[in-house]
Amino acid sequence: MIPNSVFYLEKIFKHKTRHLVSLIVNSIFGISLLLSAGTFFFEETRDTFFSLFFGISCIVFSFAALLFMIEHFFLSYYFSNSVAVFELYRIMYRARSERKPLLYYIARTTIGHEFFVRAGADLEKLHEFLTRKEGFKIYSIDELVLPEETFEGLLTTLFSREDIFREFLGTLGIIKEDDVNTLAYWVTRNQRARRDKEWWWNREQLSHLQGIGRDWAYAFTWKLDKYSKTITESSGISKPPIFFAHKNAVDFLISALNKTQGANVVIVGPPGVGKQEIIRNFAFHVISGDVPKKLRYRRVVLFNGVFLVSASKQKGEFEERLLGVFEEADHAKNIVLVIDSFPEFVKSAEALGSDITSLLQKYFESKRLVIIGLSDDFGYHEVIEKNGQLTSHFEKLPVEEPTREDLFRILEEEIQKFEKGGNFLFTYSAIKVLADSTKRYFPDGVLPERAVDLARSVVSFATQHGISVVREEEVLAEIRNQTSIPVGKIDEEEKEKLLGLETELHKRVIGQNEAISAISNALRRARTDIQGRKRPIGSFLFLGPTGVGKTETAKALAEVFFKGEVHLRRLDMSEYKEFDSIERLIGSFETQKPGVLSNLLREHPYGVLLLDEFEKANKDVHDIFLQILDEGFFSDMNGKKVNGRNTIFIATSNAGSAKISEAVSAGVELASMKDEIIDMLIAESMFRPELLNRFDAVVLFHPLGSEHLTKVATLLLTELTERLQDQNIHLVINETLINALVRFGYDPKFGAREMRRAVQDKIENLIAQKIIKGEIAPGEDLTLTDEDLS
Amino acid sequence: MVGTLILAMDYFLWHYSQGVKDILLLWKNLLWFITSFFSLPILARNLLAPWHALEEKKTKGGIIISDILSRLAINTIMRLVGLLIRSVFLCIGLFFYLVLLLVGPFLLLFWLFLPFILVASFFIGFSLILS
Repeated sequence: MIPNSVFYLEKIFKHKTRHLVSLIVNSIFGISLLLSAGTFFFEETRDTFFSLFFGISCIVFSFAALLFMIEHFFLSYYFSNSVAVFELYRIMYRARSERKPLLYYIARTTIGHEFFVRAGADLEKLHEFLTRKEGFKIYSIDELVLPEETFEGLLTTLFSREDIFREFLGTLGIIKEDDVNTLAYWVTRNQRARRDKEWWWNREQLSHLQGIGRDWAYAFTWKLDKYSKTITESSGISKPPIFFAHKNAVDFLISALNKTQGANVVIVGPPGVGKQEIIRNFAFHVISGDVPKKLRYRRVVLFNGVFLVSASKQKGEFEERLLGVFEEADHAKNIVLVIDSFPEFVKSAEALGSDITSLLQKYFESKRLVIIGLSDDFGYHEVIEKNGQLTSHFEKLPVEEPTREDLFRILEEEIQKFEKGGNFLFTYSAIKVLADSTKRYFPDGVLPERAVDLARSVVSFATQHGISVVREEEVLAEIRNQTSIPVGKIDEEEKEKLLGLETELHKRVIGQNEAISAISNALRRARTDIQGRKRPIGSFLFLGPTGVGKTETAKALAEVFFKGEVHLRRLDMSEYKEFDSIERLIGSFETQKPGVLSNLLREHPYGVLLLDEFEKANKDVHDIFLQILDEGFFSDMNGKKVNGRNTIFIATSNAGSAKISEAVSAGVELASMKDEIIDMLIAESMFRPELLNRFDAVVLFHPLGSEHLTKVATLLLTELTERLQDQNIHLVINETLINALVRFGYDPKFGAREMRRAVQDKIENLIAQKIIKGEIAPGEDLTLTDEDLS
Repeated sequence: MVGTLILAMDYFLWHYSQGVKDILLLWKNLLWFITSFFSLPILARNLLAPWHALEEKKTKGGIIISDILSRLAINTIMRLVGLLIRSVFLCIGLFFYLVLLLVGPFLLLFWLFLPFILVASFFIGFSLILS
């Protein structure tokens, strides 16, 4: 229970003002005392001035004492209650007059103000909102039944009861009660961090200071020190974070290492998941003595075994050094030896012909030495799991990626560190996007490291651009920079582009209205996130004869969606019809040779992947795509996930083109033939129905008619004209030229594919000859006649 | 005015209840800190242990008097070095501990009388200035 007078004191004489006044009064007190003492040097005036200065000192002391007393009265309640409870009481006190809405009083507290700022509220709009005359329902906490008496409890309850508050937060992108709770908890933790700074005499704060002489009875470790660093001595270890995601892992580590003999653990998890953080947190516990006696005040040492191997030329030399290091560590009696990259260390020693397991068995069974190995999953399976002796000596501690909730808190902690170093502040929505987008757009990274890396890039972006409040937009802008994927709010320019996608694509693709419309719709769905996140951005199967614009459509798509044709990659699937196709695509476990598809998607995770002549690929290859199109990923030869969720897959095929041409010639509407053609492809076992169903759209491309050919010819000639502009030659595009190009370039078998070559072979050659002959002068119009083109 | 009166009442209640507890807790925490920072139990326990476990061990077979004497001398020196350094820090730590131990009751007494000292100091100050 906190008495109201604590907050009354805050009201009449604020914490910060008290600090300032105390500083002044204490200074005056010190000066007056000094002056009193100084009077002893002046005998004649001593009596008069001593009484004066000492009298002043006494009066000032009484003020200083009063300030001291009331300050500690406040601090006593401030420290002995949790921040969440104390702040709730503070709000309750302020809101007791009920003259203004409860939210007004919340926003007037430091923590409440931070809540709104972190929510992303603009200060002017916040003031406008809080001083509204109408719309508020809740004026007192008494009107609310809180699930728990905390600041978070108050905010979440208010969120469900006060409609206007819900609407206001909704405009800032905070729409769930869960978000309100997370945000309130975040600002509470920040407030706690500020409070703990003042509470230096707290046992927890005092315990982080390393004591003197704890290791004086233990041996020096000169040999070990050459290949290691002491974690318990590094400067950054002075204070643990308030929240630690892998607390359970640290608890497990402490209990597993507390065995009397052979206390060894191997921490297994992907790089970046937080293994080093677990060790650092474990070291905090060791320093503060908050561990069983066996581990208390030990030196936690990170040993770089791979470095030791590389520093040794021969087996004998290596083994001698290694035994020296371990003997020292064992003899010292106070070492927790952390072996970094444990599997690599074992493997590199093996390469020198040394068997670490038998060599170090004595130390693995030691009562004095405690060993922790760090390993990734692959290394664990590859090296440690296969070695029975190692698995019997080391208890496995698997470390998983943090949950979304934990990732939030980790990011909040990390961002607090970033904020200390700069003049900016992250909003809740920025953290939310960081947490949610990392896995989606950077699937190869491991959480939390990848998310923290992204946050670091955002910090750099914010610093460069002088941004003081980092919102969702800044994070999305950074994601756009790194991936080229259009993410975030759709601006006016993009809105126009998306709504006019058909026009945009038609600038490069002639005809094929049904195809363009299907693709445009799918892209609009993808851009607005309607279809969900667990599939590729888009997947299409283009069916139709050669040279009708299937590849051109894919190129146009890369240009429009990813802003560049460079984002188009191509695989000729006719090369994957043999029995070893799968190995070539996803990699071979036996030879450890990576696959083409795995490499392509890992190196270029963002873009359009064109799968030419898809029907010619092996059926097993089709099966791989079943999973990719359905879930957006597949597993490579080592079982590692390869992500395709940020890719648009376009498979092209000539299958059914005869039927398509036939239907078009007969004047049948192609759309009505679609089912029939698909049935035919299934009947002819070209594609399995489940594969066809996985595509976002199966699109039929019709053969080009004469009107289309004319347009294609015009398009190609326009491109040529633009190129010639650089030479200051103005090519006149007229009917003669267009007809000639159609004549040269169209082949019923290959559609308009030959037309581009015809431009090169016929027209460009002709112009080149004319330039060489001096028949065209720069700046002149060039009109090609029938005679020229015959 | 009423608020200030209530504040004064609440304050006095706190000063002689939770305030006293806080002082005692502060005293306890600081005593613990000095014990922990100067590692007093550890230093006392290992007072005679060799400095950083530097010891000369028997390497040759048989009984060689000169070897035994040499080892004895080195090991004794190492223990003396350990004893000396530990004693110095133990003494410093114990000094602070004792000072704090003794200051504690005075601090408590001072705290208990602080409201009266405050008032007295104020009036004494005035009388000194006016005298």
